Amino acid sequence: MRNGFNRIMLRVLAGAGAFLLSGCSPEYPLSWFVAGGDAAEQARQLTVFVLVLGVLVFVGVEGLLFYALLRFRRPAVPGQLPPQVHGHRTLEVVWTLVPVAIVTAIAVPTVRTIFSLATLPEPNPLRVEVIGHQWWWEFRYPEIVPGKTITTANELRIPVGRTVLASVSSADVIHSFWVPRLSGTIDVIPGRQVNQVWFNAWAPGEYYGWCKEYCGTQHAQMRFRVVAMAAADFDRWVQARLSPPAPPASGPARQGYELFGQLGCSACHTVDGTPYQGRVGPNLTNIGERATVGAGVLPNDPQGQGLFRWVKNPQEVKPGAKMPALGLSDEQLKAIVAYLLSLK
Amino acid sequence: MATVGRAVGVFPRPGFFEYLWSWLTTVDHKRIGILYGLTTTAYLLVGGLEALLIRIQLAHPESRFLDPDTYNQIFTMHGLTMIFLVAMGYNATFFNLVVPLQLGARDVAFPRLNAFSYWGFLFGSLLLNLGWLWGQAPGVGWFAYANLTSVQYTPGLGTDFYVMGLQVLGISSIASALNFLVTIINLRAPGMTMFKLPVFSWMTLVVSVLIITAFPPFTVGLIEVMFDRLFGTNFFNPAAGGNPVLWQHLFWVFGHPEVYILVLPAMGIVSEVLPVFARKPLFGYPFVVFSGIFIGFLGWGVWAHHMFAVGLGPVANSVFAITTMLIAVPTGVKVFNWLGTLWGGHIQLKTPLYFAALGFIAPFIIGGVTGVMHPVVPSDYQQTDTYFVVAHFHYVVMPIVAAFFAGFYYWLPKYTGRLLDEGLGKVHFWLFFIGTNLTFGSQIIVGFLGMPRRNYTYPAGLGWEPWNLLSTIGAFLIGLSVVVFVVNVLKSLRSGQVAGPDPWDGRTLEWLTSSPPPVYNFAEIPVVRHRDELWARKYGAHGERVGAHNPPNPGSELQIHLPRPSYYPLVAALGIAIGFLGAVLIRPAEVGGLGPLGWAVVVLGALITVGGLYGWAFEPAE
Repeated sequence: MRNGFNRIMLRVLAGAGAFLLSGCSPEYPLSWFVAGGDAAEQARQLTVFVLVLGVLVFVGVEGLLFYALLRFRRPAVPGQLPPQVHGHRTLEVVWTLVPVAIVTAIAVPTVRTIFSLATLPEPNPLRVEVIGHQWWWEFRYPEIVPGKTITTANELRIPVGRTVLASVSSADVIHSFWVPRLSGTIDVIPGRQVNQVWFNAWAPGEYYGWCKEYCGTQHAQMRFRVVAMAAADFDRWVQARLSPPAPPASGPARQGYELFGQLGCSACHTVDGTPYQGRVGPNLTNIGERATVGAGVLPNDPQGQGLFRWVKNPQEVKPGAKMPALGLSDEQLKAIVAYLLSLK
Repeated sequence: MATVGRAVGVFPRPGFFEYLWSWLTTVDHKRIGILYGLTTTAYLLVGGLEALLIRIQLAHPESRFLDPDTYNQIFTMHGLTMIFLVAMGYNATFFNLVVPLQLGARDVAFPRLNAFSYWGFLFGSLLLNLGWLWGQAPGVGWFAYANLTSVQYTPGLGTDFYVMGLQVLGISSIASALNFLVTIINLRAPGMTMFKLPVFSWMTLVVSVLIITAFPPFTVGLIEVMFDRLFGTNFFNPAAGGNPVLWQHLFWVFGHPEVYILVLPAMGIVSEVLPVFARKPLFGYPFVVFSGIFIGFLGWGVWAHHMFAVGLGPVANSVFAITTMLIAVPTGVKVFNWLGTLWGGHIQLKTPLYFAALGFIAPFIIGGVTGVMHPVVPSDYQQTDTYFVVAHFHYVVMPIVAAFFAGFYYWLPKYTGRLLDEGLGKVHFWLFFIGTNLTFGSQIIVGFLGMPRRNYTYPAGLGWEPWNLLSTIGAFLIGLSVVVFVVNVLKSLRSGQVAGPDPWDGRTLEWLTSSPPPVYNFAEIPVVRHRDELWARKYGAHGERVGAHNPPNPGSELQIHLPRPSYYPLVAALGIAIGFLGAVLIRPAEVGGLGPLGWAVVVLGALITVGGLYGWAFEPAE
């Protein structure tokens, strides 16, 4: 019994220690115990406060339980009974009021933070539209300059320091938008309900995002990234997106450009500045600069291996994805990949 | 002349078929309880196997052990099996086995309805699982969020099996709840006022009320899904102005009371076991009872805490945060009263107490503490749908399973006449205890590291690998512990120590009669004067010993009225299940249905149901 008790305490301590060490390390890009912006920081502080209270309650009550079990262990002796106590009114009042006090201590900052997170901290945020699809993300910057909208996919670029207001909606079923270091979860719902969530990033970098609401076969691989850039870099990126380059003139990329239309890629995908205007799949205008392929499934390496594998057979990488394998030859694939990599 | 040897003058031994028939037609609550127990244990193994498949898949990143659709069906069926078949099934098992005996009653109020409930449970559970034969088990999660459940997004039969299987199970649950509600109110032994009612029976009463009130909104939601899928209505179709969030309200206004439907009987078992093994009365009986009622009541007012990320707005989120936090108060009161029960007792560390105190209370405290972290809405925006939530509710449901094990070690000897083995019991306990904490302790941490739920795969390099591997190892320890339990039960049936009527020096009426009890339970209905009636008979109301407890007086057996066995409840339940199977098969042939021919099956089911109910209604009582 004592042995079992020690074992448990050891494991609890070891687990807590490992967690405290690990939760704060940058190697855990989805841990929300490291905040990268104001919204996530408000949640983090509250979580740590409640977690500390919770650990104290846990240690106290488990301590009482184990103490009682060990201290009052006694063989049954016929004819001998412990005092037959039926209850104690004062104790009942005390241990009703103690949880009430703890819960009140948690409820007050909770409600305050709920309302704080529901209030936009900046009157003129960067507005973006997030549209969930089975199983990828569409991001739009409506009217980023008057009359012009930028559309991209699976990688949301934002300027550091500026508040971003995301309006989220769905093209099919319910998804959830979650970037733990920047923002808590908000459901992405089809129909009239368009939810909004704000966040900002303190520093440049890549922040991992994940679909959190179960949305069918490939729910597990509906990932995205938020790329925070210095404000000047972001402006340059916007300018570049607003004036897309002309299609490649020669070489394998040109071949790929032509195949893109001939093979039917353009039925689903848009590339700005070209006649390719399909609206079913992700906009590929800047696919060459994105970090991943297939909504976070494969790395988008400069040699094009990730893109090659993806276009060759998406079903092998992401079974159930809506993009079919087109049965292309290696030559065709190389040309397509060369074209896609040139799009940046 | 050759003579053929022939036994003369010997009664024919009842053959296998007579024996089987006696079980198919039984209306005895003890036998029905045993049927529930066997069926449920089979599903415990099925649901456990599903859990192990999930854990094998997740032991390593990028695993290809299961393809995504299979994984999604398995995690869905694991949840459905464990909630609707195992937890609800064991609840029904203990209601049936224990409540009538605790009340000093001969049976439940409506014995044939009770048989009907069991057969509905069996056939409904089979219908729910039937999709496996098509390779199309439900794959939309146990919560089946609309509009993923529309034919556009889940064209296969899986979602139909979900809808129809759960409808049949719902009918069975509501029939059973009505039965126990009436039984507890009407069939208490003379003198057993409500505040002399044992706590397990009290919790059964509260749960019965919860079942009767919680299932109807779920039924309505299921009917709407059915209409959307079969008849082209648009309840949840956003393209036609439908609202998929409506489903979430209907589901969780059932789903959260359902959590208390699962946990309150377990709390009742713990409240029965602790006093017996501490050899003193339950501390603060009225507070334990009222906090149970209060938990059940609050259960109706907290459903939207499953929906904080839906965007209901800060006011709604604040209100549901506070109502949810309030549940910590009655739960805390229960835990403290259990500590008060142990405090100053003569504690007998036998297997039932291991499971009740260390198996239930100790991890349940973790479930409670992590539970209070969820209504902290800004934290919930982060932790919702991560493994932190998975860990939290498994720290609630694994204690429930532990309470069931406590219940089996404690009560099974009453029905088999033989004790379970203490040594194996402790092996069972420690494997279960260590396995549970390893599995779900790891999941707390991997949840903090941001691992989302319901993902069939995950990439390497996010820091999740070691915790997932540990979690898988723990799951296999839990699996092993269940094997030890099954071995222990089988060993006890073959060669267990004879229990006698009162092996634990019990306090309540079930220990007054023989083990196993006669079919009529009590030859004479006991008259109750004390809350712990049997204890008071043995030791006096104030603990002074007044003499040995008196075994029941066997006699006047022939004058006891007992209902006649009947197969009509089975027929009626079978008809209902066939009818609902027909409703699945209405789906077109391309997805595996029969198309309009499915209506023929619906009509066949309806005819069998009507025939069963007709025979039932006109069957003489004697």
